[in-house]
Amino acid sequence: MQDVTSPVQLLTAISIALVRHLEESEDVERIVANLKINREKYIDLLVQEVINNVWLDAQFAFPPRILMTPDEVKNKALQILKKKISRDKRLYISKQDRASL
Amino acid sequence: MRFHVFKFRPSSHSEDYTLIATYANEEDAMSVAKKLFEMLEDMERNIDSYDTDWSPDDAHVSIDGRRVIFNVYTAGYLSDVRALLEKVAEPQSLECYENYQSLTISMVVPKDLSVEAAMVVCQNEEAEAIRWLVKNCGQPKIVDEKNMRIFRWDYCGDEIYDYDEGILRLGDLQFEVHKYKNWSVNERD
Repeated sequence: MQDVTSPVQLLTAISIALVRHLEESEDVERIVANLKINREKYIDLLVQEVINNVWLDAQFAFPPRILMTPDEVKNKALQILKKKISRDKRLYISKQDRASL
Repeated sequence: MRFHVFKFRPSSHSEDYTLIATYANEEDAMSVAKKLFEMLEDMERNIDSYDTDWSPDDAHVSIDGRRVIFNVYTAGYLSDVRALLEKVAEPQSLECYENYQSLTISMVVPKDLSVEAAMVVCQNEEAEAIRWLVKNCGQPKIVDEKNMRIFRWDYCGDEIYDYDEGILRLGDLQFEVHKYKNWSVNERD
């Protein structure tokens, strides 16, 4: 996060990190198997959700008013992503399939 | 990669929000609505997993053909719902309204008068109102009864009618419906 100097750059960097994380996730495959949208679209929507949640924090991660550091915002985004994936696993993967994982 | 911020950014005050998602077929709409109910149940058990300021008990879900309608009073905390509406099946459209209204706006004119002629012979305010309604709701349904004609427009969208004041807010125009005996506004069924 050292090269990031503005909220837009920070949100872009977070988006890229989230996409990377999701592209390696096996959970995404299992979730998408039960949806009518494709993997790319699912990842896109999930990243949007997380970005909406940290948008305001990113605005205050730079001077003149710093409430959270860029790294803290990124970590928060990753935590939110985990919560959202857990939510989607509960919603879109049947109990039986979840139990067999 | 694209991201959209501000779409449903929570605000400092609450409003009655309505999300309307239209799908390719009724089957998709049914499966989305079913998932929405499941999500509301999940919210009750795992409230911390959701970004919300409302209780699942206060939310309303309904289906109207290919449309799924979600309604709740919130300061804009709708991201979980919106995500579900877009994930379970891809909607053809997804609209968000504040204080959603579904109205029938009627105007009585002499029989045989066309919409265009009405704009010429009526008062300026009325003509402006007709122009706005035609632009935003399309040509009116025309009902002929004895010696009169009724123009009827169906409107769905953000709040435009103030029931207390009897005023229609049509763009910049504040149309005082209560001053005109030939105009009426009713909620659609």
